Amino acid sequence: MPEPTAAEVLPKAIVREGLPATPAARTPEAVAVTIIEKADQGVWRQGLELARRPPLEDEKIANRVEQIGIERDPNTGIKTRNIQEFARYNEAKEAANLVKKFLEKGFDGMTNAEKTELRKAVWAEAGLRPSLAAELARMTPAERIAFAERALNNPELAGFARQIFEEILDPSKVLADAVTPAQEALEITEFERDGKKGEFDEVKHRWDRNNTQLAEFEDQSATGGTKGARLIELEKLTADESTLKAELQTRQQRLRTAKDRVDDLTSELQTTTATMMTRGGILSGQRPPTEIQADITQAKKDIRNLEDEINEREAKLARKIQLEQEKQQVEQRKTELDREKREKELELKKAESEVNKRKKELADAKALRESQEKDLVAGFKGVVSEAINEQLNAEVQRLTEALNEEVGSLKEKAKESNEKVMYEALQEEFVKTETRRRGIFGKKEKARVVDKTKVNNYFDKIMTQGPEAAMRDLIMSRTNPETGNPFTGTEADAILANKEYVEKMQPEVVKQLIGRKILIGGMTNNDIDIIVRSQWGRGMIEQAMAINEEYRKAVEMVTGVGGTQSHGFWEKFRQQAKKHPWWWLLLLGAPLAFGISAVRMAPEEEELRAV
Amino acid sequence: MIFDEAYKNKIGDQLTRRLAQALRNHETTLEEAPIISSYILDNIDNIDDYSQLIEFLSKLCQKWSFFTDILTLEKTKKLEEQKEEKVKEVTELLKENKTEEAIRKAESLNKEEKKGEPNARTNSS
Repeated sequence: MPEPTAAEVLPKAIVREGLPATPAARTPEAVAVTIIEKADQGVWRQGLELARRPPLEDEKIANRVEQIGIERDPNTGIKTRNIQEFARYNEAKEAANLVKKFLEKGFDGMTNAEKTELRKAVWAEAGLRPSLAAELARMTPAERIAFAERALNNPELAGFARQIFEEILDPSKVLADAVTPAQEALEITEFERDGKKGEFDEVKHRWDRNNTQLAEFEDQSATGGTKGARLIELEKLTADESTLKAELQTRQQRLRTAKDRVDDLTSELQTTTATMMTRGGILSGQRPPTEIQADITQAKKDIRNLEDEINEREAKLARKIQLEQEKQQVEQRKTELDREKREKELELKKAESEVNKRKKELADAKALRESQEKDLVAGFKGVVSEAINEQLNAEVQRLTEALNEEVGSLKEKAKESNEKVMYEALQEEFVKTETRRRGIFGKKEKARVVDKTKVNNYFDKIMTQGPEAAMRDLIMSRTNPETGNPFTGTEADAILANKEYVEKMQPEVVKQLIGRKILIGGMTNNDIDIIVRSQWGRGMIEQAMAINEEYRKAVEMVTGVGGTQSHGFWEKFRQQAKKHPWWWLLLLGAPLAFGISAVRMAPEEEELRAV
Repeated sequence: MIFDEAYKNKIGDQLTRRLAQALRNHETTLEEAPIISSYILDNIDNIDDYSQLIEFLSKLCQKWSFFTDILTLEKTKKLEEQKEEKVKEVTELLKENKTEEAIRKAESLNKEEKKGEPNARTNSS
């Protein structure tokens, strides 16, 4: 090997001078160091890719992550996150920073643990595609790692990841805060409910007190209770009423008599006293004043006793009236309070129902917010996986386009109209327009993708009825320019009656269908057996080997030089085709996807010996 | 000189390193670096031969002059290669005893060299 020239060494030497050990992130110096690191690793394109990406703004990331959580400290304005929010906040921050690191430093700049996770993400995404999953399953661990790392070092992946990341960070996308208004609405209804509760409690207090009073007039002995004290009193007074009234009347009569007697005795005393003063003594028949005075005293005592007795009876009768009125009032109040209590109870229930409604709304808003925050975390966590998905889709898309281009070019070259019909069918029948969304936060985009249903139907037809049946359907899917209507079965049969036509078109039809079948999900071992053992399958493979140098070389690496006529060729081919589903894509002359071609085109020695 | 993928990669590597150096020397900025990177990445794969390479490098230098060294080196290498080829031709002619023809070639080579010298000095200064 010749010594490198000055021109080759010079730029490297200039740039390597005095590099700082650990430059700060995203300074010209740091970017320069990263670019040179990539160039030193022999991947200068990756270096330029890193340089062409605008810096990821830390502020944008921080702002998006900061949206997690609702409540803020009223004094400081700082978010006060609960445990779950805090966990989500940390998760989002960690995931976003990891993506940032991947985008700024590339796969090589990640730690070993991070690299392992990224490889797993590639395998997981690839594993979702049956053909790739089958290919991966047959790789050695080293090949699987190489496969994943090729994908992760692909600048296209970083491009997709950056796009997805930027979409998540879009400042116009703000997590909707339905929680705060719901919280405020709940607080208002709770306040109203508390007011209603106060009103109800006040009525209830009066209602209870009235009931207590009422209980004094009720006889609950029949239901295991007791008889109210006032009822007992009232019953007794009612029972005694006649007696009391009679006694009152008697005593009033006796009082009048007693008062008359006092009057009489007083007159007697005055007369006797006057006699004594004029005569010096009492007359015969007159009683001594002391005696009269004693009678007066006694009579007055009788009066007082009678008055007491009258008062006592009058009081009892008045008490009876009072108790009756009281009972009537309590009963009347009970009716009013029952109504008032019912009204207040209803108002309280309404207020409580409103509170429960608002509580549910708040719970819904919280759940929605929680799911939005979880989506954000999942969005950050899924950036690389989503980018891998995009990259794999793009690869499939490119291969689909390669298939379309091939048919398009054949169609252009074709001179015979029926050939054009078939090429047009191959071009149009296996694709459809689909709307796709990139990631959780991505925009919807329309894409021309493989029509799985149609490809599967046509492929099944080939497997079960042979290529001519599929060709017949393909012709019938087109419009007959002569009639302006779709080709009829008879017209298709007439075209296929031309054996030269069939012989020419059949390999392309088979090849196109196999290619598209691989892209959407691969073939079963049984499918491969049918293809390799059928005349039409072998014809297609032979034609591909004849016109496609890359394919011929790849096949000969497995089967040995000598072509399809060499001993054991088809058996070797069959076995290898089963081991490497994507190998079939070489038939199309398409560059093999995801670097699989570089992984393992040649079988191991043991495999060859076994064949 | 064979212009193949390996050669293209060598140029890509040199341009990448020169861009890094320009960033460090503040000959360009972080804002401009993406434009330069895109220009290189978007165009380098369309180059199929040496003349297209020189055209690409010339346009690159018109936009960002710090790449001039690389263009000059490429042009110099081409001239040297052409010179070597002509020397070989002269030697061959001499071997075949075509002396007069060999002298004519050698003289034309000298004339071309004299023409090229001032230019070369201007480019390298």
